[in-house]
Amino acid sequence: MSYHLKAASVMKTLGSILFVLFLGVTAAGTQEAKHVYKVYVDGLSCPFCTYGIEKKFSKVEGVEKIDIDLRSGTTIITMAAGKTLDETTARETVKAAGFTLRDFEQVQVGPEDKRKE
Amino acid sequence: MVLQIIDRVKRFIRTIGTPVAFFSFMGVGAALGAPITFNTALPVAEDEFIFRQQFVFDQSGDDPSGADRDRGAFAAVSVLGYGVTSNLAVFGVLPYVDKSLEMTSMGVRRTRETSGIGDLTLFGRYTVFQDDVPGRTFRVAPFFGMELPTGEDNETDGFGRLPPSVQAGSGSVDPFGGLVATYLSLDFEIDAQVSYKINTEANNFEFGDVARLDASFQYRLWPRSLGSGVPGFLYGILEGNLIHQNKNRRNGAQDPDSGGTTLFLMPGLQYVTKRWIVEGGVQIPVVQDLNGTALEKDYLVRFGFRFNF
Repeated sequence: MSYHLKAASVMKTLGSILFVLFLGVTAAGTQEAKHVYKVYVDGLSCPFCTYGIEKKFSKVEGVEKIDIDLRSGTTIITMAAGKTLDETTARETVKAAGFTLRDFEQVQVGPEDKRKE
Repeated sequence: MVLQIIDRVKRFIRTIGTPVAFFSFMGVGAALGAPITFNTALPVAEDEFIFRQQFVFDQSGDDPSGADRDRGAFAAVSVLGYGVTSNLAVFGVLPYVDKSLEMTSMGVRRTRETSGIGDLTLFGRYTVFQDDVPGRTFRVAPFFGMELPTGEDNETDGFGRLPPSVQAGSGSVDPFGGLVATYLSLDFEIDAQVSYKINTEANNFEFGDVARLDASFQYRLWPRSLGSGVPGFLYGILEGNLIHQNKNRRNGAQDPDSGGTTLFLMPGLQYVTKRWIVEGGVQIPVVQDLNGTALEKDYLVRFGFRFNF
């Protein structure tokens, strides 16, 4: 077997290994990807009021993280892997906290990591 | 038998709690929310609690009667609020009071004093109007409640039975109601409240009914511009309380040296975070139009904290 053929064989093997590794990493990333939602809350105007929003969302099944931005009135909800949040639940949760849901959008779709512009 | 049971229940209630005309004369505000001296229409989240503790020093000493009366009171007022729904919240207000009255009678200086749990106040507030837009909210909420006679109202000392104004409790069941409105934006908050309390008779004595008109303006002093997240807010506060009290009645007859109208102004500060609030201010009587020789207020100092849990 010539030197060139041996080199080509080694390159193919390395390529296969790298491809398998890439697939593995991608698959692992897909499993860990989480659904993230942006909830727009009307009426939210002081720090003390935000705790009601935080507490009510923390009791929703699957909610892992809650980040509130008072200035924009938005709440970013990060769900645990495999869990989703629907608009009806978000609306009821915001209402239970004493405020009004204006808009609801999914900003990160779990497996494909799509972000809205 | 029934009377014995009622008497035992009353005694039991007195051991665990108390109310008084304290709520009226101290002008203790209700529960959560922004104003220091009265309530707000801001929500208590459904199935959640909020706690408030306020300490009040009340000093009265400008005595036109010549008896050189000097009345001081300290109150530690605990308030627990619960959100039954996002629109309906219920509150319980329980004060611990320490009161004293010094006066000169026939050339002798006397001090009358008492301390203990005051009258328990229970009330509910229902939001009837709510307009939420980004960064702002406007709400209107009527409230109704009752002050219950849990405080000791028959305390005596070496001079005999203490006067009603020094007792820890009023001994009477006193209903009240009103309407509170709140406009809140990211920069400032305005609250206004109108209320009326009907004081009923106990021990042949009846405090005059109390009508109140309260207003509060809070302006965010810091941070000047909002960053991301949920920063703490430092508010500068100016509150006004116009309080009119009818004359007291003793044995059915009006006491000409009681009641009147007082206008308080209170500058204050309040620091608000997501979980807690600390606040304080000094209430100064800028106008006092009292009947006869009713004792005039000098000042009230209020400070305290609130806690979300």
